[in-house]
Order: sequence, then C-alpha cells, then structure tokens
Amino acid sequence: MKIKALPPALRMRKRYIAFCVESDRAFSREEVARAIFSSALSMFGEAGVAEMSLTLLDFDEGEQEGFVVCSHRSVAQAIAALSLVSEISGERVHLRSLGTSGTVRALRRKFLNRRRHFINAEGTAKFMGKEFVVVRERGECCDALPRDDELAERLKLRKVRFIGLTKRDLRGEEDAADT
Amino acid sequence: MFTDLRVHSLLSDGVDSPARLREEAARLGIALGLCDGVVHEGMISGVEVRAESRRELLRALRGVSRKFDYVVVHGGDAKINRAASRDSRVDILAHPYRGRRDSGVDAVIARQAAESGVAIEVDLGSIISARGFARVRQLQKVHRILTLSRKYGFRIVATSGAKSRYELRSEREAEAILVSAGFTPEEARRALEEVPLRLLERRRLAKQEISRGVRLVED
Repeated sequence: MKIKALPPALRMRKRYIAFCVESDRAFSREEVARAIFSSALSMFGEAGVAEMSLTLLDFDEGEQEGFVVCSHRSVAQAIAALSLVSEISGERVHLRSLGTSGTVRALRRKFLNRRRHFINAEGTAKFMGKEFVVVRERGECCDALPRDDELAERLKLRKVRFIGLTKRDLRGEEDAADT
Repeated sequence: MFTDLRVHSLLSDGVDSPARLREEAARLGIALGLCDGVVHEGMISGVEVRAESRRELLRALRGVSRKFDYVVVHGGDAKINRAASRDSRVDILAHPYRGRRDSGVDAVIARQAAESGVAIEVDLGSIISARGFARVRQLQKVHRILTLSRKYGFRIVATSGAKSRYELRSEREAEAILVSAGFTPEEARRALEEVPLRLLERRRLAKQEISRGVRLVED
C-alpha cells in the first residue's frame, strides 16, 4: 500500500477550472500563462495569488482551451482573474471559464474538447449597405473584414480584427427594422 | 439569468451585428439589451441619451421612453447626473463616474435615484479594461456607489458596456468580478438579474399609462 504523504484532512482541496480563449487568433501557452498571472497579480496581489494557489496546469494550443487549478475557497477569485484579462499582445480576448470541477477527469469529461472551431471561409458579403470580405466561420457565425475605412478605424479602436456577422445577416434577412 | 442592458452593435458604435451578439449571448447563457437607439425586431432595444446640458437632456428625453424598452442616460457630468437621477423617464444612469475623480453620486443624487427608481450603473468593462492605478480608481468609485446604495437604497445595475463580442461576460464571470469589487454575492446577483428585469417591467407598465399614474388594464 502506498504511504500517504498527508492525512486527507490536511491535503489541499483543489478546484479545477476549465476555460477557453475567444479571440481573432490563436495564442501560445506562454502568452496565455503570462496573461493569467499578470491579471491575477494585478487584481489580487502577491499574497492573494499565493493564497489562491493559482496555477495554469494545461493549455492546448490547437483547441485553445485549458484549465487552471486553485484552492477550493478561491474559485470566484480565479474566475475573476481569468475574466479580467482583456487583451493579449494587443488583441482583444475573452478567457471564458467553462466550468469548475474537483477532479481533472470530470473536468475533461464535462467541459473540454467539445468546442467548435472557426474554419477559414471565403466570399464577399453585404450588410447594412456595406461590403465585407468573409474570412472565417463557425456554424451560424462568420467573421469578416470591412471594406470601409470608418469600420476599420472602429475595429482598431476596439482592438478587434474582424466584424462579427451571422450567415443570416449575409443572406439579407436582417432583423433590424428601422434606423 | 443575467440581462446585460448596455451592449452596442454595429448600428451604433460596436463591431458586431445584432444577430451575432445574440448568438454570442446565447453561448454565454445571458440575455441582451441593445442600446443602439434603434428598435430591433424581436430583441430588447434601448437608447443611450447623450446630452451636454440639462436642457438638452430634457429635450432628448421627450418621447424616447415610449419608443424603447428602456432609456439609458450617458452620465459623468455633474449636472446631467443630477437631472437624470430625478427623472422617472430614465431607467439607467450609466457610469456617473465617467471622466471624474469622484463617483459622481452624492447624497442628493442617491436620494433622488432611490425615489425615482432610476438605477445607477456599474460598468464592468471599465473595471476589466483598466489596469494598475486606473483600475484602483475605478474600484474606489464602485465602492462609493455601493456604500451609498446600502445607505439610501437606490438600485445598482451591472452591465458589460460591451462594444464587441469579446467584451461580453457570462453571469458567473460578472458575479466573480463584482464580488472581487466588494459586492456580496446577493448584491451581485441582484445587480445582474433582478434589477434589469425590474427596470424592463417598470418601463413596460409605464408605457401603458394614458396619463400620469393612470394605466389602461385589459380585462
């Protein structure tokens, strides 16, 4: 029988939090880890992060999803730290937390590897009287570049690369009534 | 469910179509109100009123509360904050602290807002996008508003203030941020779920009024 290093009552009670990166491009594990740490450090300080025991355990660069571990008392703080990351290397991101679990196995089963990805797409489209070049799509959603300087400026200001549209918009079945 | 009432689409100064924002909101499990100042068919539609002076504000408010599901006033200026917080045609006084050193809410505004039912907004986007000293100042202002709300009883509504799909937050994330900013979990949930629904309900009833305090009831 394996010798227990610590009695069960004294072991750290961990929570694993799955998250995915929503953005216009893929990021490396390094970039994501740095972003999460600097966010947690900026919001909760060194003592706070130590108490949370926040660590990035895994990040899949293909899937753009991974999980962090923290103490069972600081789940809300860990979610806040993820959620407070607003940009990585000058690009707008959302580190969306997918769910919390007490074991890695359950986390993988419940939350990971079930995302649909954007795939490259082609074509031009018109919406609201403006022209767009469609770049990628995921189900009903598609991302497009505007052929319009005013919209390009607006994207730069928001630190976003693409205009977010849906296929229904492109088919012209707008649900915006009047302007 | 979290109802995020200050989201902008392409039709004002956002970067996404209304339908796209609806898709993204569904993924996050939240409900949206778009405050583009445009009536979107089948979506909660609001208007954000910007005014330089009190007179301009009063003129702009004429008629809008009948047209839209809710009315937001772009706060920040001391006179606008005062005028908006006492006007029952207003549902949300957005970021009264914008561009100010203080929270923009004083005892007068707090009392007026409690009486008129105008909710004071706490904008998550301004906490998320700031870092360092800027975020410290932002959190201080939110603390002030929270303290005053506990004392005077006005409602606080939390929104993302999103102008792109990446700025939307789920209810769990929004709650976690509010709790880190000093809200109790109950206060956070009220600001995210209950207050937005109450505001929409109140506006719906007010629209049925044929004159002040008189409402047509169908039988």
